[in-house]
Amino acid sequence: MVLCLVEKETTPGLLGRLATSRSGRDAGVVYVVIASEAPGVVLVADGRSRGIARPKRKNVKHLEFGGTAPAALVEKLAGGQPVTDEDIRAAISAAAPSVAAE
Amino acid sequence: MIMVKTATDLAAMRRAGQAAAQALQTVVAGVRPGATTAQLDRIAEARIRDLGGEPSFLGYRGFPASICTSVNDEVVHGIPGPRRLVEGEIISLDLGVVLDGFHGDLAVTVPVGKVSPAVARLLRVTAEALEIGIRAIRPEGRLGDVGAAIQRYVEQHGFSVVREFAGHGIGRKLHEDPQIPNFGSPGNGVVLRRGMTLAIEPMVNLGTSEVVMDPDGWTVRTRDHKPSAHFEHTVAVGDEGPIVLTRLSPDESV
Repeated sequence: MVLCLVEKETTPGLLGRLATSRSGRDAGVVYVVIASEAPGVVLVADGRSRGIARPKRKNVKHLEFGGTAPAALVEKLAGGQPVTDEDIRAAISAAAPSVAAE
Repeated sequence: MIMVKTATDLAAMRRAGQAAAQALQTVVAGVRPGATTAQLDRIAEARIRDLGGEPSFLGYRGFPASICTSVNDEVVHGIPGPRRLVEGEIISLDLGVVLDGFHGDLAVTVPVGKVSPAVARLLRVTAEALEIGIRAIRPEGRLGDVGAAIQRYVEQHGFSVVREFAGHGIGRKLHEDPQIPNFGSPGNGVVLRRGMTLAIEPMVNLGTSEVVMDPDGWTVRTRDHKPSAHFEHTVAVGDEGPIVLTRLSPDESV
């Protein structure tokens, strides 16, 4: 299974993608991309230690991208509608139950 | 951080690699017009578990199946489903097994029945590019030697290598450092050390190198919708050169 080299991917296209931290103290934590801050930099949340109110800023080089959150959540994120930590947690456990349980 | 494996680790990785190769052989035997990609996935999962392993991909970053099935213009990470294979198509089958804590990962692209000469040539050149990449592996060599060898061979034949995705280190985790792009320049990149284990996997497009992601967040396909091929082996850096852990016998290409 190949590895995604995401440096070339435009960050707005990453909205709603599930992303696993590749390095740092949070290595292995699964997040949802909730916003694109700058080229190559996104804001991520896991709905737990990093909630919507206090998202983590990540360089896309330090993330590995997997599936996508449910379409309803992606639409909310893209449309700037309110999203809850519960939505984020549900998206992560629905898409990656084994990872979310770790 | 790049993990260097001990002799004991490498023996375990060979067992995982051999199980993966055997499972993939069973899946390939199931490829025929009318078969669905979901059937191939079920064949893979059953065979992997019979061999005492577990599918590396199932649930990995949320991937919903045991194998990736990428048909025609799909480059990698196609999700198995109800789609039926049709004579003249090609399908890339990517399969990973975790056994005794270590992963083996390999892929092959096979024709469904008879394919056009151009597509047959794409498959042959991609398989050869993998072998050429593997032969560029040597202790104290550089990772750039591998990518450059693959890129040169592919482009000499008028095809293009995918640049957004890469091979990877492999071991106790499916994806470890380093990243292994299928392009590069000789003499550059990470120095290869004995005991490193690498998944080498050229993805070669008949047309443009550009790829796009489907809305499912997994399936990658060519922007121009021309066919793409993908071959992969898990390889250890040995004392004398490469040791292919996912090859069933020294003379047989999977």
